[in-house]
Amino acid sequence: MYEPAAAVLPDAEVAVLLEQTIAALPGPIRDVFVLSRFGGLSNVEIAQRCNLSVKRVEARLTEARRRCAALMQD
Amino acid sequence: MSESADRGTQASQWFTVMTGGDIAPKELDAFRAWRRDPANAAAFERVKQGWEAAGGLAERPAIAAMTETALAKYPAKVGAGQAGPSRRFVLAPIGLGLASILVAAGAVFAWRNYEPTYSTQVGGQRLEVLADGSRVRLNTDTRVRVDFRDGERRVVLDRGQAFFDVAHDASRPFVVVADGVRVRALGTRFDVRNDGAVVRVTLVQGRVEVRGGDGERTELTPGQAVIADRRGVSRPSVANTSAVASWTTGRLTFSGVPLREAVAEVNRYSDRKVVLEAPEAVAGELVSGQFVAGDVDNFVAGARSLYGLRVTSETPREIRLSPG
Repeated sequence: MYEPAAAVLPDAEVAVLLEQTIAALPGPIRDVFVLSRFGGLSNVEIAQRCNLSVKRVEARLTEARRRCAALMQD
Repeated sequence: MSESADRGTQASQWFTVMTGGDIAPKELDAFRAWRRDPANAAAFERVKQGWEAAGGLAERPAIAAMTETALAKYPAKVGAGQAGPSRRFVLAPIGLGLASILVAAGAVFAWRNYEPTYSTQVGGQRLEVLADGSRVRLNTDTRVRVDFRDGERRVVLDRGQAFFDVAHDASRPFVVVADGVRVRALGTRFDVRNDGAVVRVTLVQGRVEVRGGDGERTELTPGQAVIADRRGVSRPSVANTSAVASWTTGRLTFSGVPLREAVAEVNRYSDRKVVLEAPEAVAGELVSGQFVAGDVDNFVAGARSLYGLRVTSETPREIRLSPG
Protein backbone atom coordinates (compact mmCIF):
# COMPACT_ATOMS: atom_id res chain seq x y z
CA MET A 1 0.00 0.00 0.00
CA TYR A 2 1.38 3.35 -1.02
CA GLU A 3 1.43 5.94 1.74
CA PRO A 4 2.13 9.53 0.78
CA ALA A 5 4.14 11.64 3.19
CA ALA A 6 2.27 14.28 5.15
CA ALA A 7 3.75 17.46 3.76
CA VAL A 8 7.00 19.05 2.64
CA LEU A 9 7.95 22.68 2.49
CA PRO A 10 8.07 23.74 -1.16
CA ASP A 11 10.57 26.39 -2.26
CA ALA A 12 9.24 29.93 -2.39
CA GLU A 13 8.51 30.06 -6.11
CA VAL A 14 6.66 26.74 -6.16
CA ALA A 15 4.73 27.82 -3.06
CA VAL A 16 3.47 30.98 -4.76
CA LEU A 17 2.51 29.13 -7.95
CA LEU A 18 0.74 26.43 -5.96
CA GLU A 19 -1.15 28.96 -3.90
CA GLN A 20 -2.27 30.71 -7.11
CA THR A 21 -3.31 27.41 -8.65
CA ILE A 22 -5.36 26.48 -5.59
CA ALA A 23 -6.97 29.92 -5.42
CA ALA A 24 -7.87 29.68 -9.13
CA LEU A 25 -9.60 26.29 -8.84
CA PRO A 26 -13.34 26.32 -9.54
CA GLY A 27 -15.16 26.83 -6.20
CA PRO A 28 -16.59 23.31 -5.74
CA ILE A 29 -13.22 21.72 -6.53
CA ARG A 30 -11.32 24.16 -4.33
CA ASP A 31 -13.60 23.56 -1.34
CA VAL A 32 -13.09 19.78 -1.52
CA PHE A 33 -9.35 20.20 -2.03
CA VAL A 34 -8.75 22.50 0.96
CA LEU A 35 -11.01 20.40 3.23
CA SER A 36 -8.89 17.37 2.32
CA ARG A 37 -5.41 18.86 2.29
CA PHE A 38 -5.63 21.52 5.01
CA GLY A 39 -8.78 20.60 6.95
CA GLY A 40 -7.46 17.06 7.46
CA LEU A 41 -10.84 15.53 6.59
CA SER A 42 -11.21 12.08 5.03
CA ASN A 43 -13.01 11.68 1.69
CA VAL A 44 -15.94 10.11 3.56
CA GLU A 45 -16.14 13.07 5.96
CA ILE A 46 -16.01 15.53 3.07
CA ALA A 47 -18.76 13.61 1.25
CA GLN A 48 -20.97 13.78 4.36
CA ARG A 49 -20.34 17.46 4.97
CA CYS A 50 -20.82 18.54 1.35
CA ASN A 51 -23.70 16.18 0.50
CA LEU A 52 -21.68 14.54 -2.25
CA SER A 53 -20.92 10.93 -3.13
CA VAL A 54 -17.43 9.75 -2.23
CA LYS A 55 -16.86 9.17 -5.96
CA ARG A 56 -17.63 12.82 -6.66
CA VAL A 57 -15.23 13.92 -3.89
CA GLU A 58 -12.52 11.71 -5.41
CA ALA A 59 -13.14 13.10 -8.88
CA ARG A 60 -12.73 16.67 -7.60
CA LEU A 61 -9.53 15.79 -5.73
CA THR A 62 -8.19 14.09 -8.84
CA GLU A 63 -8.78 17.22 -10.90
CA ALA A 64 -7.23 19.52 -8.26
CA ARG A 65 -4.18 17.29 -7.84
CA ARG A 66 -3.73 17.07 -11.62
CA ARG A 67 -3.51 20.85 -11.80
CA CYS A 68 -1.05 21.06 -8.87
CA ALA A 69 1.09 18.30 -10.43
CA ALA A 70 1.40 20.30 -13.64
CA LEU A 71 3.58 22.79 -11.71
CA MET A 72 6.03 20.17 -10.55
CA GLN A 73 9.30 19.54 -12.40
CA ASP A 74 11.03 16.17 -12.67
CA MET B 1 -8.82 3.69 -14.91
CA SER B 2 -9.75 5.51 -18.07
CA GLU B 3 -7.53 4.48 -20.98
CA SER B 4 -8.28 7.57 -23.02
CA ALA B 5 -7.36 10.10 -20.31
CA ASP B 6 -4.02 11.85 -20.72
CA ARG B 7 -1.05 10.80 -18.63
CA GLY B 8 -1.39 13.56 -16.05
CA THR B 9 -5.04 12.71 -15.46
CA GLN B 10 -4.27 9.00 -15.22
CA ALA B 11 -1.51 9.70 -12.70
CA SER B 12 -3.86 11.78 -10.58
CA GLN B 13 -6.57 9.10 -10.80
CA TRP B 14 -4.09 6.48 -9.63
CA PHE B 15 -2.99 8.69 -6.76
CA THR B 16 -6.62 9.00 -5.68
CA VAL B 17 -7.06 5.23 -5.85
CA MET B 18 -3.83 4.48 -4.00
CA THR B 19 -4.58 6.91 -1.17
CA GLY B 20 -8.28 6.15 -0.95
CA GLY B 21 -8.22 3.22 1.45
CA ASP B 22 -8.84 -0.42 0.55
CA ILE B 23 -7.30 -1.52 -2.73
CA ALA B 24 -8.07 -4.81 -4.44
CA PRO B 25 -4.98 -6.91 -5.30
CA LYS B 26 -6.03 -6.79 -8.95
CA GLU B 27 -6.06 -3.02 -8.85
CA LEU B 28 -2.62 -2.96 -7.22
CA ASP B 29 -1.29 -5.17 -10.04
CA ALA B 30 -2.81 -2.83 -12.60
CA PHE B 31 -1.15 0.13 -10.89
CA ARG B 32 2.24 -1.56 -10.91
CA ALA B 33 1.88 -2.43 -14.58
CA TRP B 34 0.92 1.15 -15.40
CA ARG B 35 3.82 2.55 -13.40
CA ARG B 36 6.36 0.32 -15.15
CA ASP B 37 6.35 2.88 -17.93
CA PRO B 38 8.94 5.45 -16.73
CA ALA B 39 6.90 8.34 -18.12
CA ASN B 40 3.92 7.17 -16.06
CA ALA B 41 6.10 6.75 -12.96
CA ALA B 42 7.38 10.32 -13.40
CA ALA B 43 3.83 11.66 -13.82
CA PHE B 44 2.76 9.86 -10.64
CA GLU B 45 5.76 11.30 -8.80
CA ARG B 46 4.71 14.83 -9.86
CA VAL B 47 1.22 14.29 -8.44
CA LYS B 48 2.73 13.08 -5.18
CA GLN B 49 5.14 16.03 -5.05
CA GLY B 50 2.36 18.50 -5.77
CA TRP B 51 0.22 17.05 -3.01
CA GLU B 52 3.09 17.09 -0.52
CA ALA B 53 4.17 20.60 -1.47
CA ALA B 54 0.59 21.83 -1.09
CA GLY B 55 0.65 20.41 2.45
CA GLY B 56 3.45 22.84 3.28
CA LEU B 57 1.20 25.82 2.51
CA ALA B 58 -1.21 25.23 5.41
CA GLU B 59 -0.05 28.22 7.43
CA ARG B 60 -0.13 30.74 4.56
CA PRO B 61 -2.86 33.30 5.33
CA ALA B 62 -4.72 32.94 2.02
CA ILE B 63 -4.76 29.15 2.31
CA ALA B 64 -5.83 29.25 5.97
CA ALA B 65 -8.64 31.65 5.03
CA MET B 66 -9.87 29.36 2.21
CA THR B 67 -9.81 26.40 4.59
CA GLU B 68 -11.73 28.22 7.29
CA THR B 69 -14.31 29.38 4.77
CA ALA B 70 -14.82 25.83 3.49
CA LEU B 71 -15.01 24.37 7.01
CA ALA B 72 -17.59 26.97 8.00
CA LYS B 73 -19.56 26.49 4.76
CA TYR B 74 -19.73 22.70 5.23
CA PRO B 75 -19.98 22.04 8.99
CA ALA B 76 -19.76 18.53 10.40
CA LYS B 77 -23.13 16.81 10.66
CA VAL B 78 -24.68 15.28 13.75
CA GLY B 79 -24.69 11.51 13.61
CA ALA B 80 -21.90 11.47 11.03
CA GLY B 81 -18.68 9.68 11.96
CA GLN B 82 -17.34 12.83 13.54
CA ALA B 83 -20.01 14.62 15.52
CA GLY B 84 -20.52 18.28 14.80
CA PRO B 85 -22.57 21.13 16.25
CA SER B 86 -26.29 20.57 16.36
CA ARG B 87 -28.27 22.62 13.84
CA ARG B 88 -31.67 21.46 15.05
CA PHE B 89 -32.39 24.54 17.11
CA VAL B 90 -31.34 27.12 14.58
CA LEU B 91 -34.75 28.50 13.63
CA ALA B 92 -35.99 31.53 11.82
CA PRO B 93 -37.10 34.35 14.17
CA ILE B 94 -40.66 33.91 15.41
CA GLY B 95 -42.88 36.86 16.27
CA LEU B 96 -45.02 35.24 18.96
CA GLY B 97 -43.83 35.83 22.50
CA LEU B 98 -44.63 32.40 23.85
CA ALA B 99 -43.10 30.64 20.86
CA SER B 100 -39.94 32.68 21.33
CA ILE B 101 -39.70 31.60 24.94
CA LEU B 102 -40.18 27.96 24.00
CA VAL B 103 -37.58 28.27 21.30
CA ALA B 104 -35.24 30.01 23.72
CA ALA B 105 -35.72 27.19 26.23
CA GLY B 106 -34.97 24.70 23.50
CA ALA B 107 -31.88 26.63 22.56
CA VAL B 108 -30.62 26.61 26.13
CA PHE B 109 -31.24 22.90 26.31
CA ALA B 110 -29.36 22.40 23.06
CA TRP B 111 -26.55 24.62 24.28
CA ARG B 112 -26.11 22.52 27.41
CA ASN B 113 -25.87 19.38 25.32
CA TYR B 114 -23.75 20.97 22.67
CA GLU B 115 -20.59 18.91 22.87
CA PRO B 116 -19.08 18.12 19.49
CA THR B 117 -16.23 15.65 19.58
CA TYR B 118 -13.38 15.67 17.12
CA SER B 119 -10.77 12.95 16.81
CA THR B 120 -7.91 11.78 14.66
CA GLN B 121 -6.43 8.36 14.05
CA VAL B 122 -2.74 7.50 14.26
CA GLY B 123 -0.97 9.54 11.59
CA GLY B 124 -3.93 11.86 11.08
CA GLN B 125 -4.26 15.59 11.61
CA ARG B 126 -7.20 17.91 11.25
CA LEU B 127 -8.12 21.53 11.67
CA GLU B 128 -11.43 22.59 13.19
CA VAL B 129 -12.88 26.06 13.51
CA LEU B 130 -15.00 26.29 16.65
CA ALA B 131 -18.23 28.24 17.09
CA ASP B 132 -16.37 31.26 18.52
CA GLY B 133 -13.88 31.39 15.65
CA SER B 134 -11.05 29.77 17.59
CA ARG B 135 -9.01 27.26 15.63
CA VAL B 136 -7.96 23.89 16.99
CA ARG B 137 -5.49 21.73 15.13
CA LEU B 138 -5.49 18.11 16.26
CA ASN B 139 -2.32 16.07 16.04
CA THR B 140 -2.04 12.30 15.61
CA ASP B 141 -4.23 9.97 17.77
CA THR B 142 -6.06 12.81 19.51
CA ARG B 143 -9.55 13.38 20.88
CA VAL B 144 -11.10 16.66 22.02
CA ARG B 145 -14.60 17.46 23.24
CA VAL B 146 -15.90 20.99 22.84
CA ASP B 147 -18.05 22.08 25.76
CA PHE B 148 -18.93 25.76 25.38
CA ARG B 149 -20.94 27.20 28.26
CA ASP B 150 -22.33 30.62 29.09
CA GLY B 151 -19.34 31.90 31.05
CA GLU B 152 -16.63 29.63 29.71
CA ARG B 153 -15.39 28.11 26.46
CA ARG B 154 -14.23 24.71 27.59
CA VAL B 155 -12.37 22.11 25.52
CA VAL B 156 -11.52 18.73 27.03
CA LEU B 157 -8.37 17.08 25.65
CA ASP B 158 -9.04 13.40 26.33
CA ARG B 159 -5.81 12.29 24.74
CA GLY B 160 -3.14 13.38 22.31
CA GLN B 161 -2.04 16.87 21.34
CA ALA B 162 -3.73 19.99 20.06
CA PHE B 163 -2.65 23.46 19.07
CA PHE B 164 -5.06 26.24 19.98
CA ASP B 165 -5.39 29.62 18.27
CA VAL B 166 -7.94 31.29 20.49
CA ALA B 167 -10.33 34.03 19.38
CA HIS B 168 -10.25 36.91 21.85
CA ASP B 169 -13.27 37.18 24.15
CA ALA B 170 -12.45 38.68 27.54
CA SER B 171 -15.93 37.90 28.90
CA ARG B 172 -15.67 34.17 28.21
CA PRO B 173 -12.30 32.61 29.06
CA PHE B 174 -11.11 29.72 26.93
CA VAL B 175 -10.18 26.75 29.11
CA VAL B 176 -8.50 23.50 28.08
CA VAL B 177 -8.98 20.65 30.55
CA ALA B 178 -6.69 17.60 30.42
CA ASP B 179 -6.50 14.99 33.18
CA GLY B 180 -7.34 17.42 35.97
CA VAL B 181 -5.06 20.15 34.62
CA ARG B 182 -6.69 23.43 33.54
CA VAL B 183 -5.14 25.84 31.03
CA ARG B 184 -6.91 29.19 30.94
CA ALA B 185 -6.37 31.58 28.03
CA LEU B 186 -7.53 34.89 26.62
CA GLY B 187 -6.75 35.35 22.91
CA THR B 188 -3.55 33.39 22.49
CA ARG B 189 -1.71 30.54 20.74
CA PHE B 190 -0.62 27.52 22.72
CA ASP B 191 -0.10 23.78 22.57
CA VAL B 192 -1.36 21.15 24.99
CA ARG B 193 -0.17 17.56 24.91
CA ASN B 194 -1.77 14.88 27.07
CA ASP B 195 0.24 11.67 26.83
CA GLY B 196 -1.68 9.94 29.62
CA ALA B 197 0.98 10.40 32.29
CA VAL B 198 1.53 14.15 32.29
CA VAL B 199 0.19 17.19 30.47
CA ARG B 200 2.66 19.48 28.73
CA VAL B 201 1.65 23.07 27.97
CA THR B 202 3.69 25.29 25.65
CA LEU B 203 2.83 28.94 25.07
CA VAL B 204 3.68 30.45 21.69
CA GLN B 205 1.92 33.82 21.97
CA GLY B 206 -0.24 35.69 24.50
CA ARG B 207 -0.80 34.60 28.07
CA VAL B 208 -2.11 31.44 29.74
CA GLU B 209 -2.57 30.29 33.31
CA VAL B 210 -2.05 26.60 34.13
CA ARG B 211 -3.69 25.07 37.21
CA GLY B 212 -2.70 21.60 38.40
CA GLY B 213 -4.92 19.21 40.33
CA ASP B 214 -3.78 20.81 43.60
CA GLY B 215 -5.23 24.20 42.56
CA GLU B 216 -1.85 25.87 42.33
CA ARG B 217 -1.68 28.40 39.47
CA THR B 218 1.29 29.18 37.24
CA GLU B 219 1.28 31.85 34.59
CA LEU B 220 3.31 31.39 31.41
CA THR B 221 4.88 34.00 29.20
CA PRO B 222 5.49 33.32 25.48
CA GLY B 223 8.28 30.80 24.90
CA GLN B 224 7.72 29.01 28.20
CA ALA B 225 6.48 25.49 28.91
CA VAL B 226 5.36 23.59 32.01
CA ILE B 227 4.56 19.98 32.85
CA ALA B 228 1.47 19.46 34.99
CA ASP B 229 -0.56 16.61 36.46
CA ARG B 230 -3.14 16.04 39.18
CA ARG B 231 -0.53 16.86 41.83
CA GLY B 232 0.64 20.22 40.55
CA VAL B 233 2.55 22.27 38.01
CA SER B 234 6.30 22.34 37.35
CA ARG B 235 8.30 25.57 37.25
CA PRO B 236 8.21 27.14 33.78
CA SER B 237 11.12 26.23 31.54
CA VAL B 238 12.28 27.64 28.23
CA ALA B 239 10.39 25.91 25.42
CA ASN B 240 11.40 25.13 21.88
CA THR B 241 8.35 26.80 20.36
CA SER B 242 9.44 26.21 16.75
CA ALA B 243 9.57 22.46 17.42
CA VAL B 244 6.14 22.56 19.07
CA ALA B 245 4.62 24.54 16.22
CA SER B 246 6.30 22.45 13.52
CA TRP B 247 3.88 19.53 13.85
CA THR B 248 1.10 21.82 12.71
CA THR B 249 2.70 21.84 9.26
CA GLY B 250 3.25 18.09 9.19
CA ARG B 251 6.91 18.27 10.15
CA LEU B 252 8.79 16.95 13.15
CA THR B 253 11.69 19.08 14.30
CA PHE B 254 14.30 17.60 16.62
CA SER B 255 17.03 19.74 18.09
CA GLY B 256 19.35 17.73 20.32
CA VAL B 257 16.77 15.11 21.33
CA PRO B 258 18.02 11.65 22.42
CA LEU B 259 17.51 9.06 19.65
CA ARG B 260 15.18 6.98 21.84
CA GLU B 261 12.87 9.98 22.32
CA ALA B 262 12.98 10.82 18.62
CA VAL B 263 11.92 7.23 17.88
CA ALA B 264 9.01 7.55 20.32
CA GLU B 265 7.97 10.80 18.65
CA VAL B 266 8.16 9.34 15.13
CA ASN B 267 6.09 6.36 16.30
CA ARG B 268 3.24 8.61 17.41
CA TYR B 269 2.48 9.34 13.75
CA SER B 270 2.68 5.84 12.35
CA ASP B 271 0.96 2.49 12.77
CA ARG B 272 4.24 0.95 11.66
CA LYS B 273 6.48 1.35 14.71
CA VAL B 274 10.26 1.65 14.91
CA VAL B 275 11.72 -0.61 17.61
CA LEU B 276 15.19 0.47 18.73
CA GLU B 277 17.33 -2.34 20.12
CA ALA B 278 20.48 -0.46 20.97
CA PRO B 279 22.68 0.11 24.02
CA GLU B 280 22.24 3.35 25.94
CA ALA B 281 25.35 4.83 24.28
CA VAL B 282 23.48 4.75 20.95
CA ALA B 283 19.92 5.32 22.21
CA GLY B 284 21.15 8.43 24.02
CA GLU B 285 22.80 9.95 20.93
CA LEU B 286 21.37 13.39 20.26
CA VAL B 287 19.34 13.82 17.08
CA SER B 288 18.81 17.07 15.20
CA GLY B 289 16.87 17.44 12.02
CA GLN B 290 13.54 17.74 10.36
CA PHE B 291 11.37 14.87 9.21
CA VAL B 292 8.02 14.60 7.51
CA ALA B 293 5.54 13.25 10.07
CA GLY B 294 4.42 9.75 9.10
CA ASP B 295 7.43 9.07 6.87
CA VAL B 296 8.99 6.27 8.93
CA ASP B 297 11.17 5.08 6.05
CA ASN B 298 12.84 8.47 5.77
CA PHE B 299 13.60 8.49 9.52
CA VAL B 300 14.92 4.91 9.45
CA ALA B 301 17.16 5.76 6.48
CA GLY B 302 18.56 8.72 8.43
CA ALA B 303 19.12 6.68 11.60
CA ARG B 304 20.89 3.97 9.61
CA SER B 305 23.36 6.25 7.93
CA LEU B 306 23.99 8.52 10.93
CA TYR B 307 24.26 5.95 13.72
CA GLY B 308 25.40 2.85 11.83
CA LEU B 309 22.18 1.00 12.64
CA ARG B 310 20.78 -1.76 10.49
CA VAL B 311 17.28 -3.14 10.00
CA THR B 312 17.19 -6.60 11.59
CA SER B 313 13.56 -7.36 10.76
CA GLU B 314 10.73 -5.62 9.00
CA THR B 315 7.00 -6.38 9.11
CA PRO B 316 3.97 -4.27 8.22
CA ARG B 317 3.69 -3.46 11.95
CA GLU B 318 7.29 -2.75 12.94
CA ILE B 319 10.86 -2.12 11.88
CA ARG B 320 13.60 -3.33 14.23
CA LEU B 321 16.82 -1.31 14.33
CA SER B 322 20.03 -2.62 15.92
CA PRO B 323 23.70 -1.55 15.86
CA GLY B 324 25.27 -2.94 12.66
